[in-house]
Amino acid sequence: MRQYDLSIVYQDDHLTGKSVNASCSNCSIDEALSVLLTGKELYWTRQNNQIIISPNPILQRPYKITGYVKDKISGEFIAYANIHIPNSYLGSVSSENGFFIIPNVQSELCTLQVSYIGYETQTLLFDNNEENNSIIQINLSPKIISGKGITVMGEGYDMIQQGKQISQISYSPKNVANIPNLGENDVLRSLQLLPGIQAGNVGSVGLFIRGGTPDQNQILLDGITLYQMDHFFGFVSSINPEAIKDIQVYKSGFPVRFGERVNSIINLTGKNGDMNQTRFSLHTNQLSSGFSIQQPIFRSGSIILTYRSTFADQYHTDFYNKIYRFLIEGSGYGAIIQTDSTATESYTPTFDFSDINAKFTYLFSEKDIIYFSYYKSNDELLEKSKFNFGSDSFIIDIEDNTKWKNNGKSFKMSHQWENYSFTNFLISQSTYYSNYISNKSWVYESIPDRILFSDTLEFLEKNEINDLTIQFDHNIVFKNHNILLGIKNSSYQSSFDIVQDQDSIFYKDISRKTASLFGEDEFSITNRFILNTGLRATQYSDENNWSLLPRVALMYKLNPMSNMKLAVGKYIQYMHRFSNDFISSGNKFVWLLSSDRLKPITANHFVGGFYTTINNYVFNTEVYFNQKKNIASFSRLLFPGDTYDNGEVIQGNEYSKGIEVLIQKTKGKMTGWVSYHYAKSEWSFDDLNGGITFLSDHDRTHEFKFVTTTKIGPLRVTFSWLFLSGKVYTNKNDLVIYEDELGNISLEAKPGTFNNKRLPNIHRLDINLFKSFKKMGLEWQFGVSLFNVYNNRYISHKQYTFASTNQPIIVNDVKLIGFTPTLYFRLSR
Amino acid sequence: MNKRKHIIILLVLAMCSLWGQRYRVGDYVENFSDSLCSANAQWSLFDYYGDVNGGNQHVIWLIFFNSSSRKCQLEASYTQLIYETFNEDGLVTLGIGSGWEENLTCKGWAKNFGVTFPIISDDRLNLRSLFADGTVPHHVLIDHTMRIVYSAKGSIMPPNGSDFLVTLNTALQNMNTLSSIHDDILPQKVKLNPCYPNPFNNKTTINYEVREQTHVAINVIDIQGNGFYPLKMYNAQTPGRYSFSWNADEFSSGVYFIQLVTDFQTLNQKVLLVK
Repeated sequence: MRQYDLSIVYQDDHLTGKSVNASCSNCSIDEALSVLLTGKELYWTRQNNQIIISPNPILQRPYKITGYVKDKISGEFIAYANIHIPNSYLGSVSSENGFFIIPNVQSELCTLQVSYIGYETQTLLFDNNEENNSIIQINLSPKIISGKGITVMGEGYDMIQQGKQISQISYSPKNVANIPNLGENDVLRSLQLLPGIQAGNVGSVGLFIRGGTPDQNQILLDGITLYQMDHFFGFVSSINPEAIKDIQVYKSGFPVRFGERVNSIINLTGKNGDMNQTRFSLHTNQLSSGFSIQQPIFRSGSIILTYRSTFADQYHTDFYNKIYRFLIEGSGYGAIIQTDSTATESYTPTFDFSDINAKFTYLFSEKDIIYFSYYKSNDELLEKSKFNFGSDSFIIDIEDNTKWKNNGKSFKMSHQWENYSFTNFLISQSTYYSNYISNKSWVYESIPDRILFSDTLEFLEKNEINDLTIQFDHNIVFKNHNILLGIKNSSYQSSFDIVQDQDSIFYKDISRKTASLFGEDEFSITNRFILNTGLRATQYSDENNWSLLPRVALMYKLNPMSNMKLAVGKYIQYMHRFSNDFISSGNKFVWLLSSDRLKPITANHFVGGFYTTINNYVFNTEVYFNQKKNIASFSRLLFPGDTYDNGEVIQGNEYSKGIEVLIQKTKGKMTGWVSYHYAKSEWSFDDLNGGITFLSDHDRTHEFKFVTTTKIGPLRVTFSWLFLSGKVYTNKNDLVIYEDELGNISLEAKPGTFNNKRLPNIHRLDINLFKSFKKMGLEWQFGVSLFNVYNNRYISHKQYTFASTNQPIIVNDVKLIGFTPTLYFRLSR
Repeated sequence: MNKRKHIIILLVLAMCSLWGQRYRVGDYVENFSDSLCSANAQWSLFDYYGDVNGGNQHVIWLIFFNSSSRKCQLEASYTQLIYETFNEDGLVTLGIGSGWEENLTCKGWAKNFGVTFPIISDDRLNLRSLFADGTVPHHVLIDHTMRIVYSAKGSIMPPNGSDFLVTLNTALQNMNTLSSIHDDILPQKVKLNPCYPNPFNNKTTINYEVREQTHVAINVIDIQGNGFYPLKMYNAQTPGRYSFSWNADEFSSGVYFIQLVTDFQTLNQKVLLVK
């Protein structure tokens, strides 16, 4: 049987007391089985490459298999688990609530293989004839099993898994502490190790996926849109890994149920919490510390609360200072000092951030689940600067206080109907708020001790964006069709306010609505060939027309282990994130709604790929081409709010294309992956670079990533080595200061010179050592991360500083942070 | 070929003539007058020219702005504060605005930002084109002899604008010292002698005399208003002759003012650096 690579399925009791002994040489499988089972009151049939043996003649009618996938220990639902029938083309992926349906199962009896990142793969037998199997519960065991004083770490330590859709990757934060990091175990930063997601920008957790920018990605947490995706100048993501159980990344070509952004979707599912027992955890590292509590509640409910906060405001570690210097080098107020040789400056920043995640989940029945999720993120930056110009004759004191807040909540209800269809209802709300207050006071003394002139000034800038979304979707399984229908309504309210000494400089309050209808049909034309046709129609309150966004995905299975996929689609985005490198204070994190002055971004995606599994190796390659229209450059604006008013917004196009290759080893003592990305990302704006297309700021031609994890003695050791093309830049001599008639200035390149130079290639090795053991009924985890092990202080990027047209442009080479160890500790029960 | 040359020459000539029309630092300003949009009155520059009218001496500050410009809006209340501070010392302030918007008309501007100095509406940029090269804000200081001592674009809001205040203070002190000399015929308490050499290459010596104990500060001001560079400061200098050597290695060729600031008066001297 080995020789034929057969799966034979049977139930032990059917075969009890029956023994067969027959021989047959040089005969086919069919002949062999017939010979074997003749006269034994057993029948066999071949279904989906499985041989099924049963006591009754096998009926040829399709079945559906439905069930839930759960964590064996905590009872937590496992989202995006892979459920498939080995050696067949049948399979499915569990929903956010752990629920799955496999339609069109041709036999009563089959084996199911269930797998998810960080869990032991489970194989179980399924019999459609048994009544109690109408909804099955599958419990997966976590791979790390801690015993008394020892830890058995299962082999085949995995972190990523290819998703069902093309360009979809499942990533579990469960093992995030194993990935080399800098300061904080960061989920977004660890995603940068995946193919197609840029890893070069150490200072930022922003995800540059397939040539797109972070503002073109939607980050959803239990249906809540996150506007503030990071803390600490973009260095740490605002997503606490302790609160997240699953991350799905759709790099491009994503399906119709997503629609607010034009590049990628990062869909986060929050932990539900343990439904069986109380759990807690404490963790700390060099930037922050926090805790998490999980509590079963009522009969079948759970609640989880996670909190994290930095202590950098209380206690400046060397680490904090190091990062801080890297992030602000040559920017902000420091620029003044560099352009005026008589000035001296003292600058003391204090930074504070925290975030809270809470979620309540309740199961009314096996078929009804509700959850309520809450998220709150706070950032506060206090900057005190003092300038002395001309030997103390001028003294200026500036106190800047910037606050960012993102609060969100969502309520979701899911019901599974008798006919295997299911319905989701979601209400979510998210508020983003930024507030910047600057107090300046200055004194001018013509000669010492004689004050000639002094004054104080208060400047205030406020931005708020509020969204409310109601979504309803329904999923029906009908013969070979898996149909999804949905409706989504979002309303946005945004205000922008600038006040100086009670004088209103700018005020704007705008409201917009989007209505979307979406539907898709996943049609299994044959077992091997699946066609997914979808359409999303969106209307924005500024426009009369509906935008039609068709999306098509094809999958052809060459064999149960290999497939070819293709996806094309249209996308639209009505939100824009202001970015202007030359504004030093907090107001750069501002979200703006499309208006008649700021057209929505539209995009076309094309992606094709090939996937195969050979023994312990996964091989995946994808080719993509993305085209975007109306991306905005805000470089000529003094204030983000001017976008709505009199400012000059330049809109242009973005073209990106590339090839990704991933070879992943999923089993064995050593696991991990090697990935290569060849890419080109270009921008074209009529008013920039003389209208000539140029490489985007984040273009990197080659990206090679090597990530591997293994056990060395009692430690789990993970290595990551990166080799990337350098960042592009513009030669200092090619830069000119553009000034419009209202005195707004921006730094621009002479025609044809924008980003036409490239920094040398960069490479870096990071290592993580991790140990976990059980003692006193608690689980102890220790981690040491070594960043930039061989201390390669390459030029990370260039920082441009300019103050006015009659002062020189200053260019700083910002060098990467050298070798830096980070400690991590976690205690949990 | 010849034709093209002619065109180029003509273009250069046209540009020169345009250039020639624009006042620069050091130029003496002709009279101009216009009606105020902030009040029912006429405003004439030479009304404030003491030598012509035999009246009080003034330093005149022209603020060119555009009401849509954020930079101008932001510094509006700051300009009002400077005006209030130096008004009594003889500073005359005039706003010259353009680009009026629906909610920020000439009067609306004054009301919104609490501006009380007179404003001229210059929508056709007739006045601005005499002084500024197009962008706003642009500030001009005219001393009591109707000579331009400061003309530069850009905001004067801190942390910028230190050179503006220094020049303003110097102009006011020079004017007040002069008038006090006329009035009281006081002996000069400080004297700034000619620098030697002048013109100079990299190094020149600044010579001055102090006749009564005073604080002393020696500064260099770039004539284009680009910078203010303090060279030396003494807390108390007793009467005597002093010299100070200025090494201008880090400065580029051009005209500079050597400024001597004391408790009694501020003196300036023009020097030329040739590299």
